[in-house]
Amino acid sequence: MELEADTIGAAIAALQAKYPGIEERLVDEAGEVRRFVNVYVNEEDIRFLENKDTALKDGDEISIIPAIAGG
Amino acid sequence: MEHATRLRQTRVGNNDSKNMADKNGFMKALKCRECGREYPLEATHVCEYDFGPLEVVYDYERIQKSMTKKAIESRPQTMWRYRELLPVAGDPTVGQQVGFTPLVKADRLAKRLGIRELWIKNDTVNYPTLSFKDRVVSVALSRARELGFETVSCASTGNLANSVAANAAAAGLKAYVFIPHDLEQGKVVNSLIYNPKVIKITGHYDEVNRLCAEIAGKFPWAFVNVNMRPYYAEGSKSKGFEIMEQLGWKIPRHTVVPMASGSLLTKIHKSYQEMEKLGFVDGGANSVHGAQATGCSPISKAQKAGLDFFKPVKPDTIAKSLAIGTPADGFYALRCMKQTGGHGEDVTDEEIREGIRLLAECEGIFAETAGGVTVGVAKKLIASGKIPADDSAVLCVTGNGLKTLDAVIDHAGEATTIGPRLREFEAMLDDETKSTAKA
Repeated sequence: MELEADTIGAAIAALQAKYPGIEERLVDEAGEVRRFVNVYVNEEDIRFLENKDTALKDGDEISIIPAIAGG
Repeated sequence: MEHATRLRQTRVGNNDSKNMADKNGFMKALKCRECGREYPLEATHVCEYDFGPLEVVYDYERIQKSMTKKAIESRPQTMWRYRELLPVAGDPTVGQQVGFTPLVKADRLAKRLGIRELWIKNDTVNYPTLSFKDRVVSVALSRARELGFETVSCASTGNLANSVAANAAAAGLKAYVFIPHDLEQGKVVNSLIYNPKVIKITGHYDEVNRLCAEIAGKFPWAFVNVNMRPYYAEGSKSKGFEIMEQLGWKIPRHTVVPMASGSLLTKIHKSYQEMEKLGFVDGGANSVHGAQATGCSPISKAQKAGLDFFKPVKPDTIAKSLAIGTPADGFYALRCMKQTGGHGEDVTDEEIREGIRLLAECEGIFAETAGGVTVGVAKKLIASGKIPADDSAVLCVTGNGLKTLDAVIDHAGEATTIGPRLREFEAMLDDETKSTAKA
């Protein structure tokens, strides 16, 4: 799906507006993305960018994937 | 997901506690390690709320009554002597002979590495498939049977596939094993021989794992390291229980554990905590150190950098059994090392081979590449003083060298060839004496 946002934080807020309840599944009480939820901007993990403050530009691809246990 | 995981409903009609106990053994529930939400004891591994991993919760009060040192010591010498702390409700039906492998006092290796006292917990001879995986598989398959599964499966870097294939065959369960396509030939044959379905995936382990998570959501199979993971993982604790009992009911001052997903390290640590909680061992300082191959070292690199999280990597190492670039328990392994004052370290492919040779030459134990990693890392930690020379350490060796012959086949030295004549033999000895003298 497409949405308009200038940071990851804003993108999550936009998702929440469209799908109420999704925010608390993705973000903890401290306001950070949950440990077992991986968020990528153009395949880069946001933990190695600016976390929720990671800036977005037109055409960026965001992936939100549960961390998969295994091994 | 609903269909695949709810194969048998937990029928607890009248909440009678004895019925619950019979149904669940000493287990109480599954619980999310992140948010604490509880779930019934079914084949499910992920919290529906925050995707955190689920862990088995035990009734330690009841366990305290049933499990005494005397009781343990009277039971057969297998991993099941600690059965109250293993997540199977009734008696195990798969892998009853697994475990209680030798704890070897390694005096020659201790001297070579420069440490006062060294022990090798030797799972190269674990039954039936010569790796520690038989511990986790016997638990997973026994529990899978209890939950009504008839087909079992796994994503594997090799040892797990061997173990699932063998134990499933012995138990009369159908098995599918998924492996990266470039696994060592020894490991592939070691699975095929038991006649499961072996599927090679053209990708690395993490891609195999992702596929298996998708299949587990669709087919009513027990994936030992996916939907059965909370039970499966607990089997590793048996290695720690045995170490403590074999040391005379003591926690080792230092333990060095190889890390693929990081699960083994966290469960060894948990085993120490549980035994202390039950009063079988004294507490006190004890450090758990993690060992990886440099070509796949997301956890050790994070630990050395003082980070609480790891960066996923694409594995490139001869230690294929440790080649997991996105370790599921990486976060918890980092936390264990931090809590216990343990260190992460990693070794190159050459250092891995050296570690294999050192262990074989000094103690007559032929370990696979993961064993070379453990010995190589122990050597580094001792040399750097992170494991003080005055202390005592246990090295967890997890698999047999016959399974990774490819890694050492051109690095094990050369045999000498002579004709069947006494004078040729004596001439050879003469030459050797002369060249030793020169050197």
